[in-house]
Amino acid sequence: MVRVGSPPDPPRPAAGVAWLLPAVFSLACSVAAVVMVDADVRVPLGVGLAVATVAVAAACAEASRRGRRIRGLRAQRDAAVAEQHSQRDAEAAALRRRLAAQEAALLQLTEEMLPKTILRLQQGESAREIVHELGGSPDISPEFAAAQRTVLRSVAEAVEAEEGMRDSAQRAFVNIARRVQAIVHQQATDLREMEERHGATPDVFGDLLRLDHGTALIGRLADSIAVLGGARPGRQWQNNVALYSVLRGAISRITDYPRVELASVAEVAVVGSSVEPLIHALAELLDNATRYSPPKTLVRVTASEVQSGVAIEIEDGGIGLAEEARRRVERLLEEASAGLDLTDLGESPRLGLAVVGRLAQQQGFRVSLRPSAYGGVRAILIVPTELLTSAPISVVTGAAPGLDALPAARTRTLSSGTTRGAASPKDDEPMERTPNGLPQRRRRTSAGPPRLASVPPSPRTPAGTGPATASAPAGQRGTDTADAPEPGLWLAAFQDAVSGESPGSGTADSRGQHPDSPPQNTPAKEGER
Amino acid sequence: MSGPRRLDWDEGSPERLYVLTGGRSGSTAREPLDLVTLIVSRSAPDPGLQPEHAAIVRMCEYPLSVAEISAYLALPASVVMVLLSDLLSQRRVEARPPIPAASLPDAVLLEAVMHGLRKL
Amino acid sequence: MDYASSDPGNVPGPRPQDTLPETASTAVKIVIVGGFGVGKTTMVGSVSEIRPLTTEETMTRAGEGIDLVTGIEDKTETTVAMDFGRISLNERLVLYLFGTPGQERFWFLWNGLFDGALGAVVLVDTRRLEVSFDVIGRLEERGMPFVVAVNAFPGAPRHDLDELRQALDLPDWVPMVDCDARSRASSRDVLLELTSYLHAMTLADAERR
Repeated sequence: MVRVGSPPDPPRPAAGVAWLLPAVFSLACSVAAVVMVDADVRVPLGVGLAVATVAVAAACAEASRRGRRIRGLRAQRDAAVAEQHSQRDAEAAALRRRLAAQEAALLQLTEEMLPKTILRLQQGESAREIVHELGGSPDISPEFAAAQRTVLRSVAEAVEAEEGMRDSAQRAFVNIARRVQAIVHQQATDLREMEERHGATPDVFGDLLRLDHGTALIGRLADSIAVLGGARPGRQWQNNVALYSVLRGAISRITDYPRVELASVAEVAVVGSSVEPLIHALAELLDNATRYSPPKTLVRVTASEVQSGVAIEIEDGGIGLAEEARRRVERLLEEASAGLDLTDLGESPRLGLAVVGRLAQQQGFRVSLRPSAYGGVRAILIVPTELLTSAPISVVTGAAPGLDALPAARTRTLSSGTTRGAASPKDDEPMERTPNGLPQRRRRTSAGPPRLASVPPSPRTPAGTGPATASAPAGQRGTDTADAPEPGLWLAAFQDAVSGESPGSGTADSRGQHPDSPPQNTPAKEGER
Repeated sequence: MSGPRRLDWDEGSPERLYVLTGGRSGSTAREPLDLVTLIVSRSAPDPGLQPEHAAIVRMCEYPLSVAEISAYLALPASVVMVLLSDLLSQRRVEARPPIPAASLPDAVLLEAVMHGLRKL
Repeated sequence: MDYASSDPGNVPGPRPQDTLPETASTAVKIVIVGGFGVGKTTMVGSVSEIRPLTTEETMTRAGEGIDLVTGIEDKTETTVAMDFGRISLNERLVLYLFGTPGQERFWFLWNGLFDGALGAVVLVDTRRLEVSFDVIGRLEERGMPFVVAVNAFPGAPRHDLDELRQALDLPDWVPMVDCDARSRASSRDVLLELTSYLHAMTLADAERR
């Protein structure tokens, strides 16, 4: 069909009479011939010409008829071809539509349904539920829709399994962190108790302080793991805590705490629920500041009230971050607040800043890092007003643990109940008894009276003095000690001090001798103990 | 052993003792401090002092023994001694040491004690 | 951080009536030892001019915010290490009384405490005489002079001092007195007993030289 679609359309009315033209012409010629010839030949010529003309007309008519027929057939054929064409076009269009729909469905699957599925999975919905709800578009074939659902389901299930693993891993992390926290807390309490107990023994006390510090560092690490696992940091505080104490609490938790200098601190308190997160966030920032500045430099901390709350500034004189590095840190903070994978934690500054970011997000702290005038970094953490309260004055005046106690309130209220069961350390040993049923002690040493080591251990020896008069009423003592010794040189100052009040100067004391007697013995007393 | 104090201890404090002492565990004073060394302030507390230092300077307007300071601050004696050695080196307080430990009690001293006790 | 501007009413420190005179220049100390509940605190309190203070606090461990997934027991324990009182003997001389538990586990406290102490009072309760055994032994080992004061608890069986001396295996020269720790006069007499004993010993010692 080479000519499809281009049939020349003949001028039909002209064609309708065209076939008459030869006949008319032949008739005209015949008439002219008849007119021009002699009359006698007119009749035969006329007849002959008439016949010829008729024949011509007939032939023409026939030719015309056939021509028409041919044209009709041709038109018929053209129409058929055209119909066939239009049908094929429609089919193609339908195919294209289907293709587009599938394409759209695929796009929807990747760009909309899968992310939505993952999001909903992360929010805790079940894979089955989500796949059921997210039906395919009506444009697509059932087969395609089924395939789409299959893809969706298998992805959802895979993600669900992954999320589940991640969740349980996080839970496990948090769980372990909680256990470490519990042990650390217990240990810190024990250590504090030991510090109280051994407070008068500097060597032991110093060792305890070191242990205490190490324990605090472990505690912070456990807190960090808990925070990154999506939980709260360790403990919770019921009472509001003065910002000053919060800051020193944060300083307590870093390795290089002696380098931190607490300058001026606003007199406010932090509400109990935010105390621990704030301490932890500040500890991480302080750790960062001390870790990335030269070892001997100080890290200055100030806290001042600003319009939106309190701005805590931590400024190190360290190797400053280049602008690029600073931006990286801030980006990290942002990322951290968006969510961070536990498996994504390598070096410790990342861990620390990730924790800061997470805590900032939870609590509404605003954290920024700026270059410091000292060439280091200035970290600023803003605690919003709603997390603050006015400082309890007693804490501020004291700030030490328990420093707010009023002396009047510290009188003893020791109940006897608390002292029970604290009796003899040898309870389980059978006790030797006197005939009267009293327990019997046995002396371990056979030494004489204390401080009389040079005296023979017989109780009789210092007759009339000291030990022999032990049971005599106190008031009578000293009457036989007429020669009161002169105090040694070491007591010269003391003697001056008490001279106005020395015994014997008209008091109830019956001693007749003023103690200011000539020196006799004192130097010999050195080294007797 | 008291109301407010106890409550505080139940809560605990976020500050650890080594932060209060800067990690030092004992006195660095030239003269060793005893529990009954008497401490007297030489001046009023400066605003810039660490709170514990300020509290000591304030409470020692009249002589107070190390043991008493420790009790009022509710801090172990060693911590108080560290804080006191700071204050001593800054000449903010003075220490009046007790009778040297190695010495025997002197008769005069004992007589003074007895005399004082009899007046009770 | 202007702490000086804070309300002085909340400042820790002695009450105005508890302050020592500016002239106070020398302190001496006497240690009172005995088991829990024998009346150390009572005795310190009855003669002290200030309310007895303590250098160590009870440590109470209450449940904290942490969920204790571990099996660590949340115990509550009371530990009283040392309480003390004060007597101004004259304008310059101050006597501090330290009451300290006698159990072996508190002996670490003794180091700083006994250095420079004049002497010790061992307070005993006749119903629990044995709790003082270790204390007395320890004092003997340290060469620390002491007197034994028998605190008369109401309802406690009365014992002869000689009988008690025998039970405590004390040499004759160690003074023993009955006392009532609640009474200021009685407690004062115990301290006088100790200082008289020390005084006599010092003089005797001097005489021998």
